Amino acid sequence: MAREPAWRVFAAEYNSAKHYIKATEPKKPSYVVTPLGAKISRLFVVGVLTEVRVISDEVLKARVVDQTGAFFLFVGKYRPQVRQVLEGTRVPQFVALVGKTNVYRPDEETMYVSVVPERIKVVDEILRDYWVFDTARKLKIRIEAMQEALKMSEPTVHNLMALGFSRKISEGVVTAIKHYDKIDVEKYIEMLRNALKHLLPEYQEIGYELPGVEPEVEEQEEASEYPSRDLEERILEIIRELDEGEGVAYEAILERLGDVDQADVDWVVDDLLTRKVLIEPYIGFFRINEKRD
Amino acid sequence: MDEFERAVDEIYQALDGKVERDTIRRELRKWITQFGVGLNEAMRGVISKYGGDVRRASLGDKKIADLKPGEGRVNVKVKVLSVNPKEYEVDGVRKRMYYGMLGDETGVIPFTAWNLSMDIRKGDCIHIKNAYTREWQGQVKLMIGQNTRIELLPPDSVKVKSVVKPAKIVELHPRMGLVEVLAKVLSVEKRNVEVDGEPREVYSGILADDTGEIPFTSWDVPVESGDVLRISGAYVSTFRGMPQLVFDTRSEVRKEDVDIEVKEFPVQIESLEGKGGFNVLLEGVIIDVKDGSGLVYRCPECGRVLTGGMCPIHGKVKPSPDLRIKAILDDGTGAVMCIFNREQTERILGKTLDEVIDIVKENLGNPTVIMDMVEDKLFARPMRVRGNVMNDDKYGLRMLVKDFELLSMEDIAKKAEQLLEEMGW
Repeated sequence: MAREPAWRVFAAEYNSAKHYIKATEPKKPSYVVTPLGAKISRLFVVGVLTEVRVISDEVLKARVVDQTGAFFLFVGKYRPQVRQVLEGTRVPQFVALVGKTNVYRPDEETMYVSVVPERIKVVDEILRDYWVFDTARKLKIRIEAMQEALKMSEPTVHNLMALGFSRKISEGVVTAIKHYDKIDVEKYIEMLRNALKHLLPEYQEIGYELPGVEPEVEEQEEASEYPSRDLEERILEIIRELDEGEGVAYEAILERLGDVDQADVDWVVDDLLTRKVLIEPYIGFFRINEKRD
Repeated sequence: MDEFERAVDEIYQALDGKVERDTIRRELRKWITQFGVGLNEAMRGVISKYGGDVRRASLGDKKIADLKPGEGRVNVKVKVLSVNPKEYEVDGVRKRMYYGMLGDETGVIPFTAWNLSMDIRKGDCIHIKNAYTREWQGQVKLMIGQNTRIELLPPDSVKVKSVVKPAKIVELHPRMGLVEVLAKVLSVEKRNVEVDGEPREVYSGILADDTGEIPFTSWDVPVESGDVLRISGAYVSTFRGMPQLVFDTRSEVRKEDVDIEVKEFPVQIESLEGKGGFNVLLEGVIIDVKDGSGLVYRCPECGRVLTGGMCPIHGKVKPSPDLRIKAILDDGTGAVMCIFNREQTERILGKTLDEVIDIVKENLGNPTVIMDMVEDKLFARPMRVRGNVMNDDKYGLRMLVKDFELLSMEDIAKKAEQLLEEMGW
């Protein structure tokens, strides 16, 4: 069996999807079909993480935005790696993620889509630019396929493939035409143009700016909210002192610190882990990361 | 030839040429246009009027070139060009189906048989009754089902028009019938073999065009390295899970006095699904790193990865350390499991095997620390990889990476500008 590809689509296209194909057998994928015919069961997204909300011990929600809108992330308890990264990252931050599609249909007419991340990582701005370009060129192919299909009196997979479109794109476009009354291709052409213009330096100057991460703001927030640099130094000192090669237990650190707010300690330790100053060789044991570059 | 002319031809054959085609044509047209009789009835009437044997005309038979997707009750007289069994499982029960190619004087068509009422072999001429058609990968396919009957016809009673399909190397697929390619011979080796007591010459090597490369085998047609050849009437077979081009003296092979550009162009992973590819270049992003990546211990005898220090074949052995990565590369159209060897893993980690072993020791022998390093380096990383891609019906596509390159993302703005220009801004 071929593995389902991770589609590259912009948030606005994904969120406008109103058609869902539910798996008929266990282990078979379900699909969200967008108006342009992207038939998605898995996505690859690079964008800016702007919000993380802990709903409960089991559920966490987050938003990752591109220049067209936001992907809504829904994280359950089965992805501890994802939860750890999201909880340990202060917004805004560039992230890359792979996830499965998820839909919520409160009634027949309405459908909300979200993404259940399988894996997530903090990345650089340059990877986001690459993603925007890669997503744009894939959008272009789907726009062309849809334009050709709308010209046909009876669009079929056969006829689209004869024009050179791949099977997955042809099938998606034919499905979309069947399920969407009116497909506004112009809107997507505009989306494509804007996406590409966002990547040009001369356009960024005149306000076509991609969502970004502003470091100054981050510094200010840090000063007002972060427990304290002092606490950070004390924790590192304790670890340096107690570590005999296998890391220092969390309880041991707490005990040494004496009367401090445990939540503050968690915050600092998480932050140190995210910045890779610390590593966690075993769960609950911490060491100074000597290999940090 | 249209349907009417084919009917005329069939009546002519059924009457052993005793009646002129023009007479038949006039007569048949009269039946159809003046009397409104259907084509099959009219054919029958004309044959019977001139004293022919009605049973010899293939009434109700269709020709391959006329078949469209979604037809039922299809009768055809065809020659079996290829037939392959395929095992599959439904609810734990092993079943067998067949697929292959059929041909008649108008063309060729792929078929799938869920059920065969008799054994058919390559070269058999058969009358298929009550089959149906489906659309498959953009072409028409003949389906042989529960209610389809098959009768054997006399040998060579069906002539096959070899429809040769021009194709680029990236498009070549084992089920596409006869093809024509224009390609450059990158390398070739000659061997002499004996087949059924006959001495034969086998030339095998690699062909390339501006879309990719493919291994080839030529039977008795001499081929030289550097030649640009137009090969017409070759076919695609599967060899070690990858497509291969095969041709012989029945194919038309012409040397062309042009040079063709053999270009580096990443292929879409979707185009490899179900067939694999030889020495292909792919561009995508690593979206998953599989367990068992990083530091592994192998059996020194057979190279298998040990589990719990034991080799499944050789038992307790002295473990030999090695590095490897199994990661999923995805380009948005499909995904391939890429396997990186020790030297490549060292390049990715920026660490030698010895350094890796030291790191694991520092972490109390826990190798997952290396797996984490691999993930950190590779997840979400765009790269180009080159190598042979093997297809496995159960596990999908797999590449033993020959070479890889982390993609430079420096000139994104320039690429975006080019794309905007193409669209007229």
